[in-house]
This record gives sequence, structure tokens and C-alpha cells, in this order.
Amino acid sequence: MTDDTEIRRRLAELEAASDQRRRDMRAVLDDIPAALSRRRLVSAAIADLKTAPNKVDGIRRGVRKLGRILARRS
Amino acid sequence: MSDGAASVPVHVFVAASGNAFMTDIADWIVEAAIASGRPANIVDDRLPIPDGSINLVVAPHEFYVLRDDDDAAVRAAARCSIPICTEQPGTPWFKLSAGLCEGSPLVVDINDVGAAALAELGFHVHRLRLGAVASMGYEVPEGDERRDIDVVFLGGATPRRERVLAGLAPVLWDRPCEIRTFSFSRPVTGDEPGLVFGADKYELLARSKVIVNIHRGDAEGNDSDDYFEWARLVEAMANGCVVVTEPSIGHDPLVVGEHFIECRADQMAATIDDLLNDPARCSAVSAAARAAVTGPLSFDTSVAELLAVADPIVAEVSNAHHGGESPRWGRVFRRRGVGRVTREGPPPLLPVFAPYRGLRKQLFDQLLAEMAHRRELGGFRSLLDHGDADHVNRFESTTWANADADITVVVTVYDYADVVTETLDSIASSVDVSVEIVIVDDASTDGAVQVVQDWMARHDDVPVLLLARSANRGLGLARNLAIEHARAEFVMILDADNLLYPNCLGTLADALHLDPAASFAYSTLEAFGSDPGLRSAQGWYVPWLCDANYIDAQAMIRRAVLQEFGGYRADDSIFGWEDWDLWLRLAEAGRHGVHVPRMLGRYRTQSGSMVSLTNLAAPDLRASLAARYATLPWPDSDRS
Repeated sequence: MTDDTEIRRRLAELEAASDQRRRDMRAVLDDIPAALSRRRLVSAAIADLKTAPNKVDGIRRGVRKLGRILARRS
Repeated sequence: MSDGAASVPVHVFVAASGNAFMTDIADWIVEAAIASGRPANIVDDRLPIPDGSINLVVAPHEFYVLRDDDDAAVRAAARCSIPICTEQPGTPWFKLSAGLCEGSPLVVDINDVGAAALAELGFHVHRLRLGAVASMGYEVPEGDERRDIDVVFLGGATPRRERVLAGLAPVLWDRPCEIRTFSFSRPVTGDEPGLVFGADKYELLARSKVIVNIHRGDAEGNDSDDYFEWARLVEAMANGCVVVTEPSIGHDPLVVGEHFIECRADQMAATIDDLLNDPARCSAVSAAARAAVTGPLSFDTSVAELLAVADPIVAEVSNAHHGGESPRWGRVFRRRGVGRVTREGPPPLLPVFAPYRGLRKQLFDQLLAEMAHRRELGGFRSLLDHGDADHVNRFESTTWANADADITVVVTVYDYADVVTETLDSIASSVDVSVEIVIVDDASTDGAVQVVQDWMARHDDVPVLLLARSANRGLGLARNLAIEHARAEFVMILDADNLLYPNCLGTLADALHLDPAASFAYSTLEAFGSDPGLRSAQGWYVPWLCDANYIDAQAMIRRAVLQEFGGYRADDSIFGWEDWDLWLRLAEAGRHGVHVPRMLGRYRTQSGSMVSLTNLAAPDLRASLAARYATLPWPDSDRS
């Protein structure tokens, strides 16, 4: 039969694990930005494109994506 | 002025549903025009027409925008009217105003800075210097005894202004003052609580010794302008209220040190203190300013000058309209116009780009689930230790049992061992009231219970009841447990990291006695710490309450009201916004709170607080509140 000490030990383990999960989730939440700057996003995309080996494909995909967005909006 | 000109009527156009500030300015112009011998009246139900009268429009960015006329009609109205601009260069309203001035024969601005900016755009500009009109002066009896308010602030709430005002709290908390701010989120119609217009404003200014002028700052709260707020400050001067302002431009011919006091924001507290401690200096500046704005700088003179400039222009416009020669101003503005007439504001900003919103909400929900799980574990431990999942240890001071207090202060503690002593000290320093304290510790893990017990041992004269939960149950239930044990008529809610100034409790209790229908009373709070500013700075107004939770939990509530409404809702769907939920519940039931516009409490700001966590899922939480209290006037964006 499990005595009180064993129950307390298991409980303490569960509490510690729960506390750790909460801390981890808070850390993830803190790392996810609430909002992105469009300017920074576009700058980053342009910078990526400049260094990309397949620039033409990248531009083609971007134009297609823009077209789809505009088509959805109209 | 010829007799013919004297008989030309002056029509002052103002939007019927616009900002009450504009109505005040329009009223002054009518009064001053009549004083200078012109027939004048307010018009708010039609556009200006070229009927030979002087048409003054206060102000184009409001008058035309709030009407539903087509662009051609607005252009025609602009050609036969003189717009009076009031907005600061650099703001979207200034641009809007300037766009609506195109074609006008003369453009007027109430500030040198605005006039210069309009001239730069190619307009024929006249600067209308504001001054006092007879009705502005509230009759102040001799001496200062009627000036029962030391300091007044009147203005829109901006982050920069709030930060500067918070810096004045150490000087203002024990002085009678009125910090009256309003939200820019909706037009000010004059119905908002705490805001005063016309005669009520003049009386307030006549009762005040000092008015402070703080620059608005930009959207991020940084320094951006040094604009002299002529309208507000002339009203103050006409009523003998001394102006203390940050360094400004465009105040000529008023003189720094003679007609008003100038100081930097960081020197404002000391300057105000020195001034209030020097009644002779106060009286000298007050008298000089009043003499200036009611004498040589009176508005009657200024409006007479404007009308003298307007007379020949209006005659020319009228002549052109009736088939005469094309007026010279038309040629000028076709050459140097500022662009097409538009009644649109600046293009709306794109919505906030938040690609991770869904992910954040999911994580937030997981976090709440984990919190609930952790609370269950705490309940098991409590069951193991005490045979009760919801065990509460009770400690009371020797004075608790027989205390008969005016006010119960409810303090909820969760891991605030480092600051709770300061909070309890601030409660114990209260003056003019008898107080009992109910503290609920929500299973702190940092030894806060022992810290509170030590404090109780040192302050046995203060009636204190400490209820220490064995398992954490959350803020709403902690407050409700404390409220169950409150015995006084009024219950003051206080978080364990916030503070009260000594006169806070007495002043809020007085406010509730003065307004027996009010469910609760709250004061402006000085926010200190990582994000200084103001909290709870505006009066009770349900539309504002739907825009944002601007009333902090730190308020004094009638115990009977708390019992009637069942206290705080303990529901994770409103995690962190329990207080907002209570205010909304009261609003829906037609109840109200009374605001004391003084900084009587201190609100500690720090990143990582529970409210910051709530903001992670703000849009969804707002939507759930809007659905729950659907009869309230929520902004459209919150309705699904």
C-alpha cells in the first residue's frame, strides 16, 4: 500500500512538472511576436531573394501568390 | 469700416454634431462680432452660400466631414467662406483641414504656427489671435478664497501627457486638483462625464489657481510639438487661473514670466509647488494675464480686425458670383493649391499584421488549461494536508473582532512578499477614516503569508484578517472570499503591489456619500515602475468602457452592490479582466461609478504581469465580453 510519503513525492513531481510546463509555454508565448512590421517582412523577403540561388523562381512564386490574394479580394 | 460693411451679417458655421470645443470657439466669434457692431449668428443646418454675408467655418475638418454633401457642394461652399483652422501642423487633422480650404478666399488659423504652415501651402492667411470675450469671465469674488482648486488639467489623454502628469503626483496628491482628461477614441460631444464646456468650464477655471499645459507628444508618447494651446489657455487667463506650460512657440504677444509660467516637464512639479507657495507671485501673473486677454488682446478687437480684412474679400466674391470680374484669389489658388478637395481622413492604416494570432490563442488556452490542472494538484495537496481541498488558514489581529470600521480594504496576495509590506503600510497611513483589512493569500510560494503575519505583529492596532488558502484558486475567487468577510459599508479593492495615498480612502468614501446612487467610486491612479502614466483617469462613460478597460480594479465599491451582483466572476474565459467584467455587468444593469479626478492611488507597472498575459488573447476575450453584454455600445470591430 502506498503511504503518504509516496503520495506526497508523486504529487510534488506532478506539481514541479506542471510548473515547468507553464514556464515553457510562457517562454514560447513571449517569443511569438504579437504583430509583425510589414516593412520588416518585405525587407527580409527582399534580402532573402537577393541571396537566393533561384531568384527567378522566387519572383515567380511571389507574383503568383500576390495574384491569388488579389483574386480572393475582388 | 463703412456703414455698408457694418451691416454685412456674419454667419458662423459649425457642425451640430461636432466636438464641443468647436462650438465654444464659434460662440466666442459670434459674441465678439456682435460686440464689434456686426449682426452675427451660429448656423449649423446648411452649407455657406454666396449671399454677401461673411461666412466663417469652424472648423473645416469637422464641419464638412460631419455633413453628407457631395464634393461639388463642398467646393462651392469653400469658395464663398472663410475657414477657421484650429489644428496643429503635422497632425492628420491639419492636412484634412488644409485640403478642405482649397478655393477659399481667405484662410484663418488661431495659432502662428498653423498660420505659417498654411501660408507655406500657398493660402492667403490671416492669423486670428484668440482673446477673451465678456461671457468667458466668471465673476470671482475678491481674494483667493473662491479658488479652492490648486491645479487643474484639461485635455485629451495621450501617453506623453499621462506620463508627465504622473510625475506631478508627489506634489498633487494632497492638494485639491482636477485632472480632467478625455479619450480621443470618439468625438467629444459634451455629454461625457468630467468634461466641462462653456459656463461650467469658466467656473472651474475661476475656482482654480493653476492650469497646466502639457504637449500632446506623438503616437508613441515622445516629444513632438511645442504648441501653445491658445483656446484653453486664454479661457484660463480670462478667469485669473495662472498658466504653467511647457516651453511653447506661437504665444506672442503674451510674455513668458509676465503672463504665464514656462518650465520643462521635469521641472513642472517643483515649479507648481513653488508657485502655490508664493501667493503674491501667483496673483501678479494672474492679474497681468487677465488684464492682457481682456484688454488689449481681447477677442472683440481680434474679430473686428478679421472682419475688416474679410469685408473687401467677401465683396469681391459676391461681385464675381453675380457675373463680375474673376477675383484675384481664384487665380492664386489655382496656381498653388494643396490638392483635390477631400473629406476623407488620412487613408486608414492597414490592420495590425498578426500572423500568429491563432497560435497565440491556442497557446494561451493551453496555458489556462495547465493552470487549471495545477490548481487541481494544489487541491489534492490541500486535501492530503488538511482533509479539505479548499482549506483556508485564518489569522486575525487582536483588534479584528471588535473593529467597527468605515471601510474594508480587500488585499489579494499571490507571490508579492517583496512589496506587500509597502502596500499594507500605505493602507495603515490612511487619514480621516477607520479601516479594517482583509487579506487573502492565494497560496503564495514566496513566503508572503509569513511576511504579512510579521507585519500584523508589528501593527496590532490595525484590525486585520488574514485568510491564507492552501491551494491557489485564482484572483476572482480570492477577492470574493475577502468580500465575504468584509464588514464595512464600503469595500476598497487593492492588489498587493499597489499603493494608496493617505487621503485616498476618505476622499472616495466622501464621493460615495455625495452620490448615493453610485455603485462605486474610483480615482485617477499614478502608474509607476516600468510604464509610468495614468490609470483610471476618466469618468464613468459606458461607450468608453466598451472601447477599453480604462477603470482599474482599485476602486471603492458598496458592499451591498458586491453582494447583489455576486462579486467577481471566476471564469478563465475572462482571465485577467475580472474587474472589467464587473464594470460591464454594472453598466448593463444601469448602474454607474463616480470618478474623483485626483491622483489618490499608485499602480505598479511591470512586464509579465497577469494583465500582460491576458493581452495575448485580447481580441478573443473582447469578443466574448461583447457577446455576453450585447446590449452595450461596443465598437463594430468587437461584434462578430
